Amino acid sequence: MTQDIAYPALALLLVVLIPVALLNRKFQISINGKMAYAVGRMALQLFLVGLFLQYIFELNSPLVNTLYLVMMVFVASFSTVRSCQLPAKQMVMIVFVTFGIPNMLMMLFFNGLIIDLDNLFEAQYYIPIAGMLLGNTLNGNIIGVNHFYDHLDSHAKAYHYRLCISGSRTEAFMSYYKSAVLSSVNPTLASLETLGLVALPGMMTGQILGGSVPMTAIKYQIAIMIAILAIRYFTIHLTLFMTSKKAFDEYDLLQLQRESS
Amino acid sequence: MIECKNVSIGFQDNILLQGFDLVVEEREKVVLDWPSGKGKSSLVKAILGLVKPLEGEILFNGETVAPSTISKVRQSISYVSQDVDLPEMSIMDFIKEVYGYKANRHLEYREEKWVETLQRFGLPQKVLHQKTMDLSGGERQRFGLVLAEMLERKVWILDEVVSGLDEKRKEDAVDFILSKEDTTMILISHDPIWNDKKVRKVDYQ
Repeated sequence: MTQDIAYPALALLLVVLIPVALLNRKFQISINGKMAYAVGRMALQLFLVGLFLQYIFELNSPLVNTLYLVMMVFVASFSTVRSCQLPAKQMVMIVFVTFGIPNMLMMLFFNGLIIDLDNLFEAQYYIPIAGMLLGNTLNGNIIGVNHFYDHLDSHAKAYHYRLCISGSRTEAFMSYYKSAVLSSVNPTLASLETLGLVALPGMMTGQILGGSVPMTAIKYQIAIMIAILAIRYFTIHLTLFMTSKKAFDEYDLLQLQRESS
Repeated sequence: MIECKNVSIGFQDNILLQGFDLVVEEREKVVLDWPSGKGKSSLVKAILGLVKPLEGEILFNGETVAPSTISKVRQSISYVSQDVDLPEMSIMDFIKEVYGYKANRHLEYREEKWVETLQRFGLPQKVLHQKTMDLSGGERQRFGLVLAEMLERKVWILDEVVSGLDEKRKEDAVDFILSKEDTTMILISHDPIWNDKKVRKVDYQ
């Protein structure tokens, strides 16, 4: 078991923020209010999530765990739609499906064949792994979707020229599609290359702090990184493919109305 | 071949062209020559389905330009826009991409024909190995004409394609365009070079 942190000890950590606040005041860097709000909000959010997770872990019901995952997918879908300024009514259900299906399949594959769990919906594995997969997918989707529609928009004339020299819609947008997929997976590829050298990854560190032997933690880390790479790749393909079905008119012109956030 | 019937183009509060009629016969060369800002480029874009007319109908080979026919229309026309908006990549990759389009797969890439046509427009062979962004405006226009020729279409739409060329190159380009007797062409140009040429000028209605 991990050595617990006592609440007074946790509060003691605020002491390190006192010199930060004093320096901000001296240099007139006006972020003290913002900093206090952010730290307070983070602590409150995490305590509430902690209570909720403790309840879910004790309950350990496949149905409740899956409902929790569905809720996370919904939040991720709304977040993508908002961050990419996509029309919410038109796109949120599409993004929900493009998030949900690959992530659910990957979860079942990961828990069933890689970790070899008897109960595929075991809360201890299901929820943290889903959180890591979804968090990374969300990040990759936002980067890739923004890249694709921003480039199509800013290179509209080149896209039209391609249509006029007989490119189909897909052929005409393919170069933007490819670069969007690359922009989505490149950060994961870069982090794979430096993992363990520049920083010890969070999952592995957490497991070691939780009492796992380092080699077990490393095997989990390798498995989750490969799963993240694959899921980011599949999800951005699926999201671009599905959203593009609604983003063009019958003349293959981009008709997507981006909404300002 | 191409017919515009009572076509209006623009926005509800800014009509550029209203009730415009035009018939372009096969092998005819028509020059649209009226003041800027009056919808010439928008009209040719409407033929290509890039702009939707507010009213009226455009026919291509007797068929209305519509979602069901737009692919066929685009595959029948070589279009060279004023700026020739090439994507940012190497020219050779772009050529490979264009020949790779399903609709163009019947065309065969022959380097000697490319080099010959490039030279005809005063472009050196090394252009093939340059980046699109390295081409000047005039070079892009000439490259657009070369690509139009290589696509072997019987209808060309050329939007101000000689405007960025010097006198010698302009003469060469016009001679080349007029030498294509079997090709139907709609040209947008204010250049007086067309005044004594075998083309039909169309004014603003």
